[in-house]
Amino acid sequence: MTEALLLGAVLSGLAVLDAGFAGFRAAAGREPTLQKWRSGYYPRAIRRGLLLGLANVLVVVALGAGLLLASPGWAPVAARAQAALLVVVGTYAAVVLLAFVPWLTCHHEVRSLTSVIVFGPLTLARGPVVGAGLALALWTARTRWEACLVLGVACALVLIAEPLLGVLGRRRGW
Amino acid sequence: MTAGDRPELSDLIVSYDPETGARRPVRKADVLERLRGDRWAAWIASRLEADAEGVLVPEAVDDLLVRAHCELQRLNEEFQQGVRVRAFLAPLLAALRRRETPRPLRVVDLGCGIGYVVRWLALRGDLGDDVELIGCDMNAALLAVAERAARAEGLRCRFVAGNAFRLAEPAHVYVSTGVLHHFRGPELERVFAEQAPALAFAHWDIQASWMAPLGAAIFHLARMRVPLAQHDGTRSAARAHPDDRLLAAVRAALPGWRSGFFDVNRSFFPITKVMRPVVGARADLWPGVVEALGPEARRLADVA
Repeated sequence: MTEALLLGAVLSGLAVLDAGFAGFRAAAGREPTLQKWRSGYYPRAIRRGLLLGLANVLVVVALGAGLLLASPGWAPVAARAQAALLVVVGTYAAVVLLAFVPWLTCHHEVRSLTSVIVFGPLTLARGPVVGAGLALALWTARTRWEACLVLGVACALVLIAEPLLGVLGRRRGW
Repeated sequence: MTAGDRPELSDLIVSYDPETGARRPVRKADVLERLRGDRWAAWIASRLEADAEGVLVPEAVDDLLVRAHCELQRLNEEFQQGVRVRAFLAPLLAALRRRETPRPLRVVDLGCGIGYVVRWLALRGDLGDDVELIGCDMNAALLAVAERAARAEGLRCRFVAGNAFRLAEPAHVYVSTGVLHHFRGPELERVFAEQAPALAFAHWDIQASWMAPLGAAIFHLARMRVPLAQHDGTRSAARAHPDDRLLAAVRAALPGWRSGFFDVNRSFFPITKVMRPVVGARADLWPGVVEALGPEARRLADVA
């Protein structure tokens, strides 16, 4: 149970961080002014993403807790599945975060190159990476539907975060 | 039809009188006819709003183009396009000053869209108080966005709707970003010939290479939400003019000028230079430009 909680906490942290990035991406390419950081446009967008990520985590935690109360014993299976998911999405997250080092610190040519060869393609790969991680996790957890359900809902919420933030943003004129 | 011949949607869904800049109606059926064989583009075009007479609704087209250009600005921000333009433009303007060119020095961005480059240069604010930054485009809706964004941030620049080569006060320098590949066939020579009254130009466009279409597809699919922007961004890389075509056009149109490229990557893996400028200046001005570039002059290529 402790292992499942620990891994769940790490995955939740990644999910919230990912949602923050989703908030940024949902807002990017919509506002023509130049000083989007200074004006607070991007910080507000990232904050919205983080809040959505926290809300998603609460949903998953509530679902998992409810299922554990109803049918304890699947925690070890969940832990193994979480570990499998973490290997995939954790690797992806590490590459993305490492890419910020040159992007934040280097010459504009390096920043541009980082965008071209890392951020751009990795944005495209995000969905398939989450899908691959989920597939591996579901295979690992195939003996317990409770674990499969929680992981499936969690990954689905991760994937819909950006489109949802985009729709909310358009409706509210953010 | 080769990949380079296939049109971009943004070229088809709007039409302007080239002399007056007046907008002309575009029939949806005509657009679909031109897109025969391009199922992706035809699907996008089929969803465009048209009136009872089958003419594309201008407001709907403009809304789409504004959204696409806002997404395009994001790419320009990621590719540091403002920095790149400034890197050549600042020394060029220094050369013009040494030549005692009458002030203000007018820099006109051809086909500026929502004016990202002009606004970026204005925000940076270090080209000099004697420089006038002007963005020019045929589309008034895009320019309205440019103007609003510039006013919101208090930027010293302006935008003019119409033909950039028919301005009341002609340009000293023409620049552009991602525009040249829209000029096909003899139109490419014509667009350079129109710049003859000016003193210099620097036009950034996608560098034609084996990887440009693949890179453009990946990046536009990753970054763009508007299907038109995804389509046209991917298509534009296939339509990029090869280096020799660009230089041939410049030299045929402006025989008394010196021209070449700045900051190109000719390696097998040209990923570091997504866009590169073809640059030129009047022959008597060119030595001053090279001198003003200083050590950066080593980044010039194919100059003749």
